[in-house]
Order: sequence, then structure tokens, then C-alpha cells
Amino acid sequence: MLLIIAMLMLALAARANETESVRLSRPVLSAAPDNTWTIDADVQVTLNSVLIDALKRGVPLVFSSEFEISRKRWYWFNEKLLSQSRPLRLSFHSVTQQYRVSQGDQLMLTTNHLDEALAAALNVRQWPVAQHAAEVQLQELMQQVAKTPEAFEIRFRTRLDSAQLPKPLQLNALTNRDWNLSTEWVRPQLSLSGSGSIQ
Amino acid sequence: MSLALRVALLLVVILAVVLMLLLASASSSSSALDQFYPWLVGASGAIALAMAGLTIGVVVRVWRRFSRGEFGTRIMVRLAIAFALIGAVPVALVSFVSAQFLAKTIDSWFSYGVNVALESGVSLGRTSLEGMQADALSKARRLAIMLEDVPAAQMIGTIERVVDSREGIDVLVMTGSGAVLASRSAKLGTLVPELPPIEALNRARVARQAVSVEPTTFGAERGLQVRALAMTSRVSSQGDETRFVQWVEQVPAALARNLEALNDGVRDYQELALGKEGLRKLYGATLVLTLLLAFFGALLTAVLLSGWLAGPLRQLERATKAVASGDYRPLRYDPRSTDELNVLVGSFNEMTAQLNEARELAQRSRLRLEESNLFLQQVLGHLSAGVMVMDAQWRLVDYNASAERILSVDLAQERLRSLSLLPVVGSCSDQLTRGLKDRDEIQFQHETAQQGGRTLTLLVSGSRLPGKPAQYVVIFDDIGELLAAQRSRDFADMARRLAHEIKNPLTPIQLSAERLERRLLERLGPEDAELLSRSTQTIVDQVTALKAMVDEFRNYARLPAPNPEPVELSRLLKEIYPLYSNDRRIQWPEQAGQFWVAVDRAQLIQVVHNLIQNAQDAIGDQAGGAIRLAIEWTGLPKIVAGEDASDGQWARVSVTDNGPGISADTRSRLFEPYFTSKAKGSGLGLAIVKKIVEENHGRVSLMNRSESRPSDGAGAVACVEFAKLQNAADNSDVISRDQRHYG
Repeated sequence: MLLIIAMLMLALAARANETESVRLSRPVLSAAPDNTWTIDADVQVTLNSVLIDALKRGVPLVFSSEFEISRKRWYWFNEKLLSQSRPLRLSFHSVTQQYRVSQGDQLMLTTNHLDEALAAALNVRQWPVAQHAAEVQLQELMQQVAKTPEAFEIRFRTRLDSAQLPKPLQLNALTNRDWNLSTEWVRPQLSLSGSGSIQ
Repeated sequence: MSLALRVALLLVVILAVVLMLLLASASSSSSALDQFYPWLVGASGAIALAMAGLTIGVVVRVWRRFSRGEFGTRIMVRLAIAFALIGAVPVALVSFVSAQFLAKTIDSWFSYGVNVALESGVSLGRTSLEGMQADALSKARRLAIMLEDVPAAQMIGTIERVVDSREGIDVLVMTGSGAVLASRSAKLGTLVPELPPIEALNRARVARQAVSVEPTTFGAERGLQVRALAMTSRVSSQGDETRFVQWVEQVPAALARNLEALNDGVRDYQELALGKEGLRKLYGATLVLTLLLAFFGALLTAVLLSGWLAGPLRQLERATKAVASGDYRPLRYDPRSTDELNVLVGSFNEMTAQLNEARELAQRSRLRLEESNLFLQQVLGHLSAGVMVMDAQWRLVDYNASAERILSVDLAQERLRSLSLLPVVGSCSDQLTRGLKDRDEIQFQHETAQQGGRTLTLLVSGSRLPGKPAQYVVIFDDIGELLAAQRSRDFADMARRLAHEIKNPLTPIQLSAERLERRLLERLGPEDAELLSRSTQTIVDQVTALKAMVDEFRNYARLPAPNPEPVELSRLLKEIYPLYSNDRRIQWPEQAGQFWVAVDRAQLIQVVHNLIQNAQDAIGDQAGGAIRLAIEWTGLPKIVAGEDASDGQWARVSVTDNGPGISADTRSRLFEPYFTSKAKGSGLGLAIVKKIVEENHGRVSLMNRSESRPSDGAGAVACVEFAKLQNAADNSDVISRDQRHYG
């Protein structure tokens, strides 16, 4: 019996990426003339009843948008050069019956409607992944990426960060597919025309 | 057990302990391990899986060895079971109790009462908020109606009147196009009033009013405010005029804090309720892991410990087998260690060393015994006396070669046969057994007739060997020859002396008698003269005969040493033949043949003469008397023949008569000197034959014809036998051999 449970846990952990209810469309990585790189993406999600129930009971859901740049290496794992994430917290206030979206301590939105809250939490609008005032190293990297984008693996995804769930629910997330919500890694479309250094 | 298995077991156990500690610390409310929590749980599951696999492996392994009956596995299995029980039973008990306790505890957290209380709290909060909302909305609506006709400049007075100096209330009046007509702010220093959000305005446009509760951040303090919007529209000279009145009222800070706390409480509670299963699983997994760890730890300890215990035992067992098969090499022994098994190994080594020593000692003494036995055997074998060892029932146990020779019997066939059934000595068994019943030693002379007319004279001595059961040694020696030799030596002595004493007066007697005859013959009358001359003749004759007899005696006594030479027997008989050609009763051998023997020729001739003479005497004047001479090859039993009869080939000359034969009382003394059954004769004929034949290493026998062949009639047969000359052509060799032998 123990063996079976353990095996199930492992198998389910391996299938964490399988999702059908979340869709990522048109991610665009664009560079502003001042060398600030931003990402825009639309994420449509249909929360399943388990997640909605949890949300309605007050459990905060953290949706994390993740962006990575890594150099391809044929002989080893890719070298990770840049890794950014933007966790947005969606919670339900049971007394006021309102949805709230916040980033860190900053409250971003209060609404009575789940759709609005979800859109605010998932859609990525002008997320600056590299500021123009960033360190020199990053600037150089971004210039390299702009020059030869095919040499780098650039990817983006949005997912429900189950590690941010309360601990007892993390176990549920481990064993229950309903708690796994993630888009595939997608290479965003590059729109670097704004950058002075690229064609 | 193999090193790989040991290492794997150890690794798994260490990993399990580390994981368990991590899991335990991660299970506490908040920790840095939070984000790795799923991995921890997964790894624990994997470790449990690995442990289960290893356990099955170890158990299968031990079971195989157990069913093979390998030495040491029995104790190993016993220990393993004992350890596993010791480890697993308490842990299982604690786990069971804990699991029960946990299930009950977790359930008790989510009691119905708490749920209802929380829900009541929430609805209470909501109701109070709704009350505030309704209040704010009605205020906004009243204000809106009151302000309908008031010009913009006087609005603020009206507003202040409605607000009635209550705190935390913002009021804003704006037109439909967004122009602010009047405003009142509760916060000092806020010149620009907070405009309503577009969404709220839209709703107000549709429903003519809108109300909402919003979170606020005022400094670090989190709060709530109620925003109420009321729309009025009226037709004036300037056209449709739409106005919005916004009434924003701060929820009192204490209420807001309480509501937040309520919200947090409800959230935590619901999280727990949602995670109930997860918690249960979590604790269950931790417990199961602990149980498994204890179980595997016990098993590992058992296997290692029993291996450690059984190792020296197995070594001892192997060594014991080795000792049984004669391998006395010592075991590996660590003199520094003082543990009991090592001490046992030491004692074992000591024991094997002593065993080895004892064995070598036994071997040495056995060798010595064998040597002395061999020596004794050789001594016995070379004894001329026969030795027989009998057991308590007087059965033959052992004997020597001389016994066989003297008894002329293959004693190997007679082992364990009773003494009384043995040949020759059997007849004296009564004497022996009776004599040794109450004495330890006995000695006597025993005479017995043997086949072939010989009489064996044995000096038998028996003695009882000490010890139980009793054993007897019978020693016997053939003293017949000794006696005979002694007798003939005595006789020769006497004969010489007698001859000397007798011969001296004979010549004077003869001479005196002849002189008497010469002197008195003329003086006497014819009658007396004839008496005288007859008497004188008798005296002379008798004296002559006496002389001859004395000579014969002397000859016997002074028989010269034989001078052997190759002699062909049939030719020798032919030479003798003319001397007896007038006696028609003698039948001479007809067949020609070569019977070469090595004897003294002159002595052999005398032997033949004596035998013929003896036969002639035997038949006397008997009518139909006949004498037959024969030469033939014969073989004698090897034992009797002794070493001279190399291939059992003997040349035999036999003289057969049909006289009266030999009477029973004379036969034992036939060959003794001075013994005769005849009226005349010195009694030396056969004695001389015997002496000559024996000195020429031959054999002589005299017996009744019926003894050798029952179909024959009366009469006696005398035989002399000599060993065949091996190489008749090479005479010189024979001579030299004989000279070496007898010279």
C-alpha cells in the first residue's frame, strides 16, 4: 500500500506540467528605445472547481510569470543567464466578498468579479524583465541577445506556484492534478525594433 | 553479506534519518524548507521504496541461505527476527496510537461549532458592513436631493450640515462630465479629493446609485472604506444636468481590524480544512517513514550483528570439520582482543594443538609398536622352535614359521581351530590344558608318529600369559634328531672304547687257542683231537667274527665325512649288480635314465649293499621271496623338504621285499644302533644307512608296503632319497658347492 502511494506521488509529480485549462497566447518580448525590455502576454485560464473552491475559502493563489534566458550548450545543460519571475497573488476576502490581486505588499486590484481578478493576475502587461538602468553585465547580455537571438534560449511561462500554497495543500498539489496549473515554456516573439542597436 | 549490500543499507538508513529530520522540521509551521517541501516528501517516498526493496533483498537472501541450511544462518535468522521484533513492535505500537490520536485530533479541529461560529462572524461582519453601506448610500442620496437646487458655491455649507462634523467622511460633488463642484475631505492636507473609480461611476450611471467597500492603505494602517455614489439628473435651462454625489466613509479602525482578523481567521481555518487530507497524509507519511526506518534499522543491525557473531562461529565450524579430517592448522587469533569468541578461538587452537600432539605421540608409539612387533615376528620366525599362541579357549591365534615346518601343516588354514584338532600337537592338548589349569608353566616331552613312519619327538612347553582373558603360548621343538644324534654319539664313544677293550685280548685268545691245538693235537686220541680241533676252530671263527664285529663298530664310530661327487644312480646300480648276480630273487631296475645326485660314491654303495642285505635277511629262505629295486623321481612336500628341495625333485632308490614286514613295536627304533629284530647281525646296518644318508643330506624311510600302497601285500619298502643335482653337466660346480657346504 505504501509502495503504491509512493509510486503514485512520483508519477503525478512527473506529470505536473500537463495542463489543459490554461492557455498562453502571443507573448511578445519588446525592447524600448531606452533599452528597457518588457514582456506582454495574454493568459486565459479556466479555474477548475477545486481551485475556485479553495479561492472562495480564502486560500490565496500565487500566479507566477517566469522569464528565462539561457545560452545553448550542446555538451551540457544550458547556461542560465537571466531568470526573472513575477508572482501575483490572487485572494478572496470573505467578509467583503471581494477578489484582490496584489504584488508583494502592494494591492493592485479589488474587484467583485473573478474574471477581472484573473485577468489582472495572469495577463502580463509591460512587465519589465530588464530595466534600462540595470547593471552593465545585463546590458551586455541584452545586446548579445538582440544581435544573435537564435544563440539563446528565451522562454516564458505562467503557472500557479504551488510552493506558495499553505503546506497541507502542497501535499494535495503533489498528488492532485487539479492543483497543477501551468503553461508550456514558450519562446516569446521578439520585437526589438525599438532598440537602437538592432535592426 | 556483500559489501555493496552493506553500503547500500547504510546509505539508505542515513538518508532516511536525514530526510526524516528535514521532514520533521519542515512540518513545523514555517521554515526555510517550505519551498522544497514537495521534494522532501517525494524523496522520503523514494527512500521508503528503496528500503522496502533492500529489505526484500536481504530477507530473500537470508532465506535462501537459511533454506540451504548454511551454518550460522539459523542464529542469524533468529537474531534478525528478534531484533526486528524489538525494533518494529514498539514503533508499530507508537505509530498506531499516534495515527489514531492524529486522526481524532485533526477531526476535532474542524468541529461543527467552530465552523458555525466562523460563518456567523463572517455574516455579522458582512451585515455591519452592509449596514454601513446602506447608511452611506442613504446619506449620499439625501445629500444629492438636498443639493439639487443649491448653487455650487453654497454646496459646502449643506454638506457640512449633513456630515454634522462626523469624522472620516469624504464628500465629493461632481458633474456628469467629471467637473468637481464641491468637496470635503476628512484627511488634512489632501487638497485634491479622491475621484470615484470609473467602474463605480459607470455602475452609478446605470443604477443611479452605487455602493462598494474598498480596502484602503492609510500609512501602514490597513483599513476599509465605504464608497457610496448617488446620481441626480434634472432638466434645466442649460440642458440635462447630471450630478454625482460621492460619500466615502471610513470604516472605524477597530471594526476594520476586527474584520481583517476575522477574514484571516476564516482563511486559515478554511486552509486547514482543505488541507485536512494533506495533513493526515503528511503525518501518516512521517509515521510510516519512522516505522520503516526503525524496522530497517533493526533488520540492518540484526544482519550486521548476526554476521559479526556468526562469522567466528562459522570459522570454528569449518575448523572443527578440518580437525575431523585431520587438519590441525590453528585459526586466526587476535591476542589483543578479549571478547568471548576470540577467547573461544584461542581455546580451540590450544585444543587442536594438544590433539595434534597427542595424535603424533600415538602415531610415534604405534610406529614403535609396529617396529617391535616386526622385530618380534622376525625373532619368532627365525626361532627353530615352533611357537603357537592360543586364546582362552585354546584356539590357535598366532604361530611362527617353524611351527608350520615342524608340524608339516599350513597353519594359515587352521587359525582359530582348537588345539586338540591340530595335527601332531593335538594329541598332547589334554596334557597341556590340564597342566596349565593350575600352573603357569609346563614342560614335557611328547612323542608322536608321523606319516612316513617317522617318529616326532617334541619338547613341548606351555605357559600362560598374564592378563585377561588368558592366552597361552605353546613352544615345541623337534628334539628327535637331537636325541638320535646324542644316542649315536654316545654309541660311537662306547663302540670305540669297547672295540679297543675287546680287540686287545682277541689276538692272544686266538693265538693261545691255535697253540693249544698245535701242542695237544699229537698227544690226544683221535676222538679228543677232533674235539680239540673243532673247538679251536670254533674259537678262531668266533674270534674272527668278533674282530669283524669290532671293526664294524669302529667303522661306524669313525665313519669318515662324506665326500660328495656327482653320481648317476642307475649306473651305480649296474656296477653293484654283478655282486648279486647269483641271487635270482633280486629284480633290478630296467629303465635307463639319468638320476644325477651329489653323494659320496663309496658310502652310497655301502648304503645299497646294506639295504639289499637287509631285504635278503627279511625274506630269508622264504619261498617265493622277491626283492625289487627301483629308481624314480619323486617330490616331497615343500615344508618337509626344507630349503634343499628347491623344486621338489628328489631321486629315490627303493628296495622292496615281500618279507614279513615291520612290526609295530620295532618300527620306532629301526634306525637305532644295536637294535635288531634278527637273530644275528650287529644291529648297525640300518643305523649306518641312516647315518650315511643323513650326512649326505638325503632322507631314508622304512615302512610296510601296505602303508604306502594298501593294495600291496606284506613286506617292507626302504627308500633313500637324494636331492636332484641341478646341473648334471657342470660337475665341478656341484663339487665346489658341496665342498662349501660340507667341507
